[in-house]
Amino acid sequence: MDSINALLEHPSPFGMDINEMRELRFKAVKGSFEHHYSNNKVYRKICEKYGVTPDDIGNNEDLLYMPLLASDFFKELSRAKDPNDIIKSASVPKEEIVTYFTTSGTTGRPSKYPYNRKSLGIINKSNAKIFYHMADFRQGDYILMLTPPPAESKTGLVQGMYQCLRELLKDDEQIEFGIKGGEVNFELMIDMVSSIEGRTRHLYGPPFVYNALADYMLQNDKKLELDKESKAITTGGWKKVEGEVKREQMYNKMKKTLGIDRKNIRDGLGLTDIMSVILECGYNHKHVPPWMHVSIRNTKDLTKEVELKKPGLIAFISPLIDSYPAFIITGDMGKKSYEDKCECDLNGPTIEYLRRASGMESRGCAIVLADALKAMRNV
Amino acid sequence: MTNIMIAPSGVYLSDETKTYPAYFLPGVKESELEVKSEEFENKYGKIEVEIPRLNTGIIKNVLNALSSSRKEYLNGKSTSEILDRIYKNVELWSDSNYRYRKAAEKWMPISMGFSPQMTRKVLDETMTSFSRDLYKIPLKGKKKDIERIFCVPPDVPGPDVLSIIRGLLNKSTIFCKSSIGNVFSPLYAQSYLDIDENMAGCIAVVPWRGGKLESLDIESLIYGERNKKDAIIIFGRPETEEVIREKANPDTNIISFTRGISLGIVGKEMLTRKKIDKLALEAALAVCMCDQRDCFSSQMYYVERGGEISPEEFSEELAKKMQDLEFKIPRGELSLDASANFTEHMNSYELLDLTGNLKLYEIRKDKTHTGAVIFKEDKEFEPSPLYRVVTVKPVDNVSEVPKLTESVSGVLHTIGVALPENRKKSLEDKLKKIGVSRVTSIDEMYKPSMLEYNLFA
Repeated sequence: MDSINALLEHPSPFGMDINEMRELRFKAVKGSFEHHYSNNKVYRKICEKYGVTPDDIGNNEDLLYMPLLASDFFKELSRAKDPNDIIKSASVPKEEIVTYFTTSGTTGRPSKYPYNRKSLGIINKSNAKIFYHMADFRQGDYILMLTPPPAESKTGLVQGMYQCLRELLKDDEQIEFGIKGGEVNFELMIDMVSSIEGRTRHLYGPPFVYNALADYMLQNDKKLELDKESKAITTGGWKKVEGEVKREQMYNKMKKTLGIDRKNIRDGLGLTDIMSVILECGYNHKHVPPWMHVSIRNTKDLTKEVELKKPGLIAFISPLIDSYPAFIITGDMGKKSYEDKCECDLNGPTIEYLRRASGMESRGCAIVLADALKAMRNV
Repeated sequence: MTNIMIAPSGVYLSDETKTYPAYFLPGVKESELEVKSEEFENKYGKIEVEIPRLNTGIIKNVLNALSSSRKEYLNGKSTSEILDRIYKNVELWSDSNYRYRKAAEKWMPISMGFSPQMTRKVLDETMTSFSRDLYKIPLKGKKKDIERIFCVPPDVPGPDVLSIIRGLLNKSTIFCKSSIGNVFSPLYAQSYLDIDENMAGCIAVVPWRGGKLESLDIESLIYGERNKKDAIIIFGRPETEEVIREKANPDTNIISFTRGISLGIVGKEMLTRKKIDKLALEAALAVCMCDQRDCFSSQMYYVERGGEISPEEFSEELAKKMQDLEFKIPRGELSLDASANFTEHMNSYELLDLTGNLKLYEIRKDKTHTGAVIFKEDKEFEPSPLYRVVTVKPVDNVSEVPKLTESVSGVLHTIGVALPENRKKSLEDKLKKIGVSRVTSIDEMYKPSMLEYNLFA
């Protein structure tokens, strides 16, 4: 825990010395591995199958041997008839579990993750630190979330961000929501942002809402001039928007209507399996927080990493979560753009999300899993 | 006569050939064509595939050439004359020493990802099925007045051959949009040069990346400027069909075989010690053929309880046969995304096995997973992530299956049934009622007959 605190409380976690960062992160990850190995029967069994014990994890390179859990594993566990299955995969006593977060997932099958109070607290802190250091969000700033309020949406995109902002801003009076009762009211959004004075105004929401807002403003000849320090955070998937416009076109529309520069539009990669976010810097590279270990794995052999800038499966290891082993192999393709230092001068690795490895490109005429599930849902 | 662009004869026999023109375009002079290359490389070798840069001018020339070929040649031939030529072509392809077949066997593993053994097996099965059924096609009666067929086949041999053969017999010319890396379709079209150059002039095959901004003009021309004398045959994702339907003139005949899903049903009477060996092998072949990339590949089995062999034992036997097949006809090379998807699923299956949520029978080559049999107690229909992963689920009575598969009835393609005759008929009726297009025995699942596809009825 000391190493996690040292990382989280560092005055400049994204700028800290790379060797110090590696050392602290390794200690945090190893500690987390020991905890789950000792306290999670299921994870212990998995480690035994692969013949890995905490003694085998001696340095950063050894992290490759830590057994990873597929996102899909949690989906399948969540579907299991025996509700205790989720508990079986927890690493803390049942009484400590205070909530389950559910993610919808790209295939439409939800996953359920158990959380204890300690893990929730530390995750909120981590996300708040990310927004503080990467997006310059400060106490006293104003945030308009282009989403429904948490009472109307259970998604990680809304719930997770709301909790993180509360941690960061210390109260929620400065947070407003642009979508209420399922209604998107662009006029109201513009009014809300325009009426704020003397505070730095930030926006947060999925790209398709930004796109629709920008279109509305262009059509109705409306214009806003956000502040010099304002950030527009996009998160939650580009698929809907990219069918209509190219990403850069949308950024240009945002510049015209919201008066926000490209360098202040930051895309966030939401990691719903570990309730975390990875944010872009001003050069639009997504920075992995120092307390998290990310590696890009060989698609045929998960115990091997691919080279820098080569595509592979994204794996996240988060030592922040006590309640389940957040050692996840995702179904997402990505690559590392930088290992030690980004062109923005911050330290640590940056990653690029490429696409969901859905097998959609499967050659042939057999229906692929995602399409079959879609067909099943449409009935 | 149409100016047919031909690659130099014999070029495909050379071991040194590393560049392959993956198109066959009658009516276009080589000098008019600008090509770009795409490289394919895997453990089977390396090949450069040449793809033409298309524009509306080229497409118009090809369409004009096809029209002339129809007028000047195809319309003047009797159906039996056409049939004889097609048969001769199938005979050539049935010979493993035939030069185009040799080229296909060499290049399909590299650009299409099948193992060499699977490539041979797929070509053998395809040609055997066509030579078996060719003369059974009813030739008498009025032909549907379709002048041109536009075909979008998948990346597995069969649908392209079927479209070309049925088209020619209908005296229609065929314009086939192949996918990048599909080396078989153009080779097959080109092989008609060995039978009758004029007949080859009735077929065009060319790849491009569909639905992209850069292909908007040519797709508008190809799909948009059609009329009731044209037919578009689509084998692909529903999205492909949607895009084509949006572009196509409403008069055009659209025949769609979008991606499908298949499964097997095993009755308790078949689950005996005496029958299990043969049954498990047939079931394994139905999974492994084309590495499960075909719409007729079995993705799961519902197995009835109460037989001498339990559903769980069936899973084990199936896994043994799939492991044997991995040595005889190994699974091919997976693309980066397909292998990522497969690996993620295998990781999940391993964990679920350890947690007692399922029983996993792993198929491996060396240390690598190359497939799996998943035994699960629940009855929910479960599609496969493909590439030789099959789920087995027990049922108390096979009559439950139509209800269990209702959720996917819209995409169900083939159901292979292993049941005694007296129980087969009523199940078959129920399956047909929920919209299953093909009910057959498990060993016939991967051998669809061209007679089942009456494209121009």
